Formats: sequence, structure tokens, C-alpha cells
Amino acid sequence: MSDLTGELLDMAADGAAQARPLNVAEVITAGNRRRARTIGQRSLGGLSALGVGVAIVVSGGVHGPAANPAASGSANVLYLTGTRSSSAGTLTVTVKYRDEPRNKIDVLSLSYSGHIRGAIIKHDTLLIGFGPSLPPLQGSRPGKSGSRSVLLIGVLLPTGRHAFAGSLPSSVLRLTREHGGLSSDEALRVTLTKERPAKGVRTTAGGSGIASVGLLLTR
Amino acid sequence: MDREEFTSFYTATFHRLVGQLYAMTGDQNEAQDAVQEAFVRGWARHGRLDRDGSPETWIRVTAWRIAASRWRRNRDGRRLLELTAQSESIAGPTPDRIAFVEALRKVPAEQRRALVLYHVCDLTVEQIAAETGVSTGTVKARLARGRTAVAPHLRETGSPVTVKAN
Repeated sequence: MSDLTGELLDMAADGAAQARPLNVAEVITAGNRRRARTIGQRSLGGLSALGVGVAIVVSGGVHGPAANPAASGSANVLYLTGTRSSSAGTLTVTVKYRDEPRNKIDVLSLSYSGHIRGAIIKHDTLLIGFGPSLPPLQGSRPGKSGSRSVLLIGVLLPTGRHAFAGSLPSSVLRLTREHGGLSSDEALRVTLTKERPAKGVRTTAGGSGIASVGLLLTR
Repeated sequence: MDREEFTSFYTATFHRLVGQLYAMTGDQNEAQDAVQEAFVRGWARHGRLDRDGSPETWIRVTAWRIAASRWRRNRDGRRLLELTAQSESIAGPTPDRIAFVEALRKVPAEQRRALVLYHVCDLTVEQIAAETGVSTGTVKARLARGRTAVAPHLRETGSPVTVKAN
């Protein structure tokens, strides 16, 4: 063994002896948080790919509500709640939004909760899409070709073995605003699914899933 | 890699990796922070961690990148040397050890990394080339320059350093 090897090994041994690792539970919690944040950023980063010239269909007629619930609220702040159930689970979505000038909508919060008949696993996903509304949503305008849509993909955070609840982070909503915001009469669709979209595959928030709630953000 | 496997992996490798990063960076706190952050990132992608070859290599490479990124962000190379020299460290108790650590800190970062991968992690030149993303010739040059830089601070043993290769 050369002196260099010996010195370096001694130095590494000193460093190893002085190391004070965090509890592994803290590492895992921080890793989960980082993963959720990364997925949110990746979803928003995909905006340009989903953007101009691409009409993302916010559809899924099977799951479409019979009628859009009436918005309630005051002083331009409106609330909409929708619930959908299937044999596989239930999803409830509440969105709070504000009517802005120039036909704009500012989503202030979006919360969701529900349960899945089977146990929640790590690939259970929420697809949250905003975009031009299409026929399954009654009273909506037909989708416009070339319209911009926003698709967010979130990992489901369980509150129990079968139950989940959460809300869209305000930072994500802020980024949505920075990407042009939403127009009034756009539709929101939240789909609970067990299939995480593959990278590079165009995805919509409609289609098949455990349950899908569609809401028309009326003024 | 599931939670249980990750816990075992973390417990088994954390200290060793901090030791390796300490030898690479010359800064105990920086080494610990970088390795800790690399493990957080590792768990964030734990589904792929063991599919990408050696998880320990992935953590070491990531920790090195984190440390290097911090250096670049906070200071240029010369300021790094000044600041790390001022930082609290665990330099050994003997004057020889202190002189060696000081000499090592003055070796350019990539040469130091190559020295540690070769002498501490026991990797071959080819493996170091793969891990650092450079050619084997570059690795050999870094090893030679790094050894030359720290040679005056080493005790003479008469045993020449030979380069192992596959």
C-alpha cells in the first residue's frame, strides 16, 4: 500500500466516523416531497408540448356529469363541488375560483378527496386538466381546435389504506397563472386513475379511470 | 427498491460514502450535506435506483455533482480553496495528516476525485472513466498530476504507485 492510499483511506475513515446521518424516515419523507414537487414541475413543464395547435380533449363521456353543478359564492369568488362514484371508488373535487376581468378565471384552490375500493398504491394518480370544454359537460361550448390546455399529473397521497385527500399546491396554481391562466367557461376535469401516463405520450384528463369529475367554470 | 431495501442500503453505505466524499472535497460538512441530499434524491427515484446499475455509484456520483454544483454556485475555484481551508474540518491530529489534507485541498477537484476513486473506492481506470464521463487517458493524466501534487507531503516508503487496469 502506498502512502497515498494509506493517507486517503485514513482520511475517508475519519470522515466516515464523523458522519451523522439523518433518520431514514426523514430522508424518505424529504424524498417523497421532492418527488411530488418534481412531478408537478414536469407536468407544468409539459405545457408548451401540450400548447398551441394541440387540442387536448377533456372528455370521457362515460364519466361526464349529467349536469354541471351551479356555482355558489359571492363577491366574484365562486365554489363548485362535484362528486363521482364508480364501483372502484369515489372522487369529490371542490374548486374555488374568482371571476377576473377580460373573461379570465383565477383558480384560487382545488381540493379533492375520496376513496378507492382496493388499497391505494404508489402508482395511483390524479390527472387534473383544464381546457376548452366539450360535449360531455352539459351546457359547455364545443372545444376549439388549437386551444391551449393544461394537464397536471399528481401522485395520490393516501390518508389511509383506501382514503386519500389533498389539494393542488398554491405554487402549481401560481405557475398555471404564469402560463396564461384560464378563460371563463373552461372546463376542469379531475380523473383518478391507476395508470400513470408514460413519458412522451399525449394524455388527457378524461378517458378511463376509477372516477372522473368534470366541472364547468362558469362565471 | 422498496422502503426496507432502501433503509438497509442507507444504513450500510451512508458512512462509507461520506468518508469518500470527504476525501474528495476536503470538507466534512459539505460531504455530509451532499451525501444526505443524494440519498433524498435517490429515494425520490427509488423505483429506478437499483435498475440503473449500482445504487452506491449513483449516490456517489450524485453527491459529487451536488458538491460541485455548490462550489460553482457559491464561489470560483480559488475562493473555494480559501473557504474550505478556513472551514472547520476534521484534519487528523498529526502534523503530517494536516499537511496532507492541506495539500490535497490544493489539488484540482477532478484530480482529487480520481485519486479517491482509485485509492479509496478501489476502482480501475476504466471504471473511473465510466463514472466520471471522461476517457481513460484523461483519468491517467489526472491521477498522475494529482499524485505529483501531493507527493511532497507523503512519507517515503519506497513502494512505487502502479496503475491497475482491466
